[in-house]
Amino acid sequence: MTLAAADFARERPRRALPIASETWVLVALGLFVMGLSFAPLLRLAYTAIAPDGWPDASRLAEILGTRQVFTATVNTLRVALFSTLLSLVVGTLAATLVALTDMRGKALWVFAFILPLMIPPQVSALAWVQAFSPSSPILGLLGLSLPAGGRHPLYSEAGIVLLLGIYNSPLVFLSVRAALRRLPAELVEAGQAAGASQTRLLFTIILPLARAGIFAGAALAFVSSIGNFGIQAMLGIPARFPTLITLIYQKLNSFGPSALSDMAILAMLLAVLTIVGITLAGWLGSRKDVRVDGSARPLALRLGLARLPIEIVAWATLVATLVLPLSALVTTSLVKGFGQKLTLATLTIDNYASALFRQAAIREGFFTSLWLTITTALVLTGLSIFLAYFLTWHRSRFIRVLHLASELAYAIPGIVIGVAMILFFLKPLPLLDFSIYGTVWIILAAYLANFLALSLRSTLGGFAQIDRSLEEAAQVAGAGFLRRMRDIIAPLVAPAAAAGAIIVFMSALNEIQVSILLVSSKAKTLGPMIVFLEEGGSSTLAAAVGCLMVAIVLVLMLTASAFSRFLPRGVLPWQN
Amino acid sequence: MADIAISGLGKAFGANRVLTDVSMHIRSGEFIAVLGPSGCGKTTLLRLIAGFERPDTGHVAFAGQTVSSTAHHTPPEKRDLGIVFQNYALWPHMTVAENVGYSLKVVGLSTDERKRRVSEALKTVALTDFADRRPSDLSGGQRQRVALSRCLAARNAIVLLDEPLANLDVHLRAAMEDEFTRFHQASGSTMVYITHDQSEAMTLADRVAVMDAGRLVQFAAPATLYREPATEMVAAFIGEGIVVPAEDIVANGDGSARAAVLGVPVSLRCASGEGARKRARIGLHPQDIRIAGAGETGMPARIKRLSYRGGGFRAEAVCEAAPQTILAFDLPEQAPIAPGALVSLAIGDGWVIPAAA
Repeated sequence: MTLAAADFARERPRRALPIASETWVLVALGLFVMGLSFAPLLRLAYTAIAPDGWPDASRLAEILGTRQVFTATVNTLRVALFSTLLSLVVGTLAATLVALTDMRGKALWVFAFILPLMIPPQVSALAWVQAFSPSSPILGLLGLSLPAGGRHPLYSEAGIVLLLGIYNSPLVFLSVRAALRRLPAELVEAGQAAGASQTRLLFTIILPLARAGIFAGAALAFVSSIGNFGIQAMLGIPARFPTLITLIYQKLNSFGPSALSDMAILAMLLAVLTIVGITLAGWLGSRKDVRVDGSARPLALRLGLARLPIEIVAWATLVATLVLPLSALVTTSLVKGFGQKLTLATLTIDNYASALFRQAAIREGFFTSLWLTITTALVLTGLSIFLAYFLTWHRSRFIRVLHLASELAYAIPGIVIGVAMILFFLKPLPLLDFSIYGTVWIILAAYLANFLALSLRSTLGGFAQIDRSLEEAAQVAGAGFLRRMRDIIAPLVAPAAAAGAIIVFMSALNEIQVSILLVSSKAKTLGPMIVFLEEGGSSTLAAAVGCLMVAIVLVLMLTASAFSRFLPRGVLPWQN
Repeated sequence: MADIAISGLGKAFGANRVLTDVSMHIRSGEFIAVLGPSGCGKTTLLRLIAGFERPDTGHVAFAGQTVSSTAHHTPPEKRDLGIVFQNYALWPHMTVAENVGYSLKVVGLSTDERKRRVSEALKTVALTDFADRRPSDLSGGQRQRVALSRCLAARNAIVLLDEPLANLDVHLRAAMEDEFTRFHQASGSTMVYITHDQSEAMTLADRVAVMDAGRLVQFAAPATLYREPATEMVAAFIGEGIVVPAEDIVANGDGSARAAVLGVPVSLRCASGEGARKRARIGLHPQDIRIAGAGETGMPARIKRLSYRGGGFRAEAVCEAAPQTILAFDLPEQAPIAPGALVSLAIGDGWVIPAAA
């Protein structure tokens, strides 16, 4: 054999970079995540604590001590707690049914149950408002019309709690279902062997073992409720029921950036509530930590005679919480004026034509959102592949800090990110000498910061399925870092990364809470459009835009589902 | 061609020392096996040679060029070596031919040259017809051969094999062992074969490095390991070895020695430097033990257990004089002996384990 050492020296140009490409990539990742996710939050904290450059406790106390802020805080906590309780009950029940019982038609039911989470909350709120309005086309059909002239039943604290509870139930569902699926079958079988009935098994063995998942789900629901601008604004503002998030929005609307330091304090308060909520739930869930191992075989508790009644109730719930409001939305979008009955005479596609073609503002919003979300999804997907690579195979303290920063920027409410971005980017950029405040670029920056964790989670799931030796084999084949990324790793994580891209795309297209403070006459996005249209009295047009958004969401979900066999389980939340 | 010189290699993960002061020289073109129980550090040794880990002490050199030391580290992609992984590590998104030709593509070889070398390599392992298949369409043995042909095509001077038979069925192993031998003859590469299975190591390797608790215990030809174990661990580990105590050892100066085992005089082999010792441990194999003939002094022992081994029995007997010493030996099928019987055993051969340094 005439090998190699000499042979290869000729074939392979050995260019030695002074610093390995890994290091350059790490530096770039660090700059990106710290610069976009962490620095603005730091700026926010600094402004809240030291508005004039030094810590100012009296100012802090003054703002926090006002009656208005106190009421808003209490209201925020009330709706968040009550809606979390509702989500907890509904989500846990649903997860138990789906993961543990022999209920039929689970795949479709799960898809429909998760759907509300994928629909922009402001669109859901609009649909519910229209379903329960005195002139509701749907209740009218059922002969249940509400008396005209009364206050709308959903413009109330109970209404906010109900809608937040329904919106966040899928979060609890996903978390509990994952916990139930990890449950070792042996523990349940041991209980059965001990003679426990199915109900007894559920309450004494299964649910206690899934506790960590239940608390994690509760934490997610709580955090999501606090930061849900769409529902709190659409119902809370007409109901004159102030919460922290609507207070921040109204302050910016009435005072502009001059109220920034006040807003910073409120935003910090919101962020602190969120973090306390997550920490508390994490602590509750981890106490007497239940660590179990064993084989996770699917369980099938028999519902027996109760199966049909339970199935009917399960589907009826979906009809009430999904079909009813959505059909009201569709109906409203098809009539000329709000409150009209849908008949052949009133049927029109005018609203859709307006939304798509005539109204320049809507069209612009649509295209702005489209390129913002596509850019966000692409950039974050590329970034996540590198970040997940280091997180999975080269964990260091530095990379863990980046991970934490990305999770933090996702967990705290989008409106807080919005305030932080304004504070961070209000002054002209160094060297470039212009401010990106008021342009689409600040929205892009906020999206990149806020949604990184979403894309990262999915990509991490993909990495967990790759055998490390596949990369090592490429390494001994002589492939350098970037080459391995391109030839081996990127193709292998592509499905999971693409699923992450779709989820980021949907979240960014649907979001309202991040961009609501950042939109300007020059930069409009689709999310806040519904609120502006509804505030401006164009309910039918708002309904049409809402329907279009739901349609986009459905198309995306189904497209992603078509590729699900290439994906690790659990990457697409709406799949059973 | 490349020899591998390893000296003073040490590695710890946190407080856990996995490799201590390992030194060995592997000659160019040699086929060696690294043998040891799980957790002995053999995989870490492979990963240090490959460059996936950096040593805490010592260094590794290929063909005189240092590739690993505390000061210098050549990354794996620059070491020009091949690895056959335990799970084969075939890239699922590439065809068999693409898998085999990947390192040539990385090097920038022309397409024609690449095709030629890939088909040559696939022909050697009899997988020509599978060139366009995906790894998922192959059986375990075929995947193993793809992994081998990947090293063939790359013409790696050094090939590391990490327990390559661990995931294969028993009946495939013998066939794959032949495959490794043919690969070695065809490539002339320096091969380092990591395994915990001593029959694989003894069959395949020119020399076997026995490792225990992170240290290299003995590095020698299979027959030497079997006949002249350097330590009690090797004596007990290799070839169903039995270690028994002996007294009054006297070396004859010609590599043989006399001693008493449980009071019975025996004739043994010993190292050339061996003198007289009051006590020593000796290494035996079941083949060295037999029932004493008429008129021969044997040591009385009681048969504890007989297990059928096809064509004969493996007997385990407890020495009457020392109940903690258990001797195993083979009995023909017709032997009229039952468990509980008292027998007299003679030791035909044995090795005086050198005193620990």
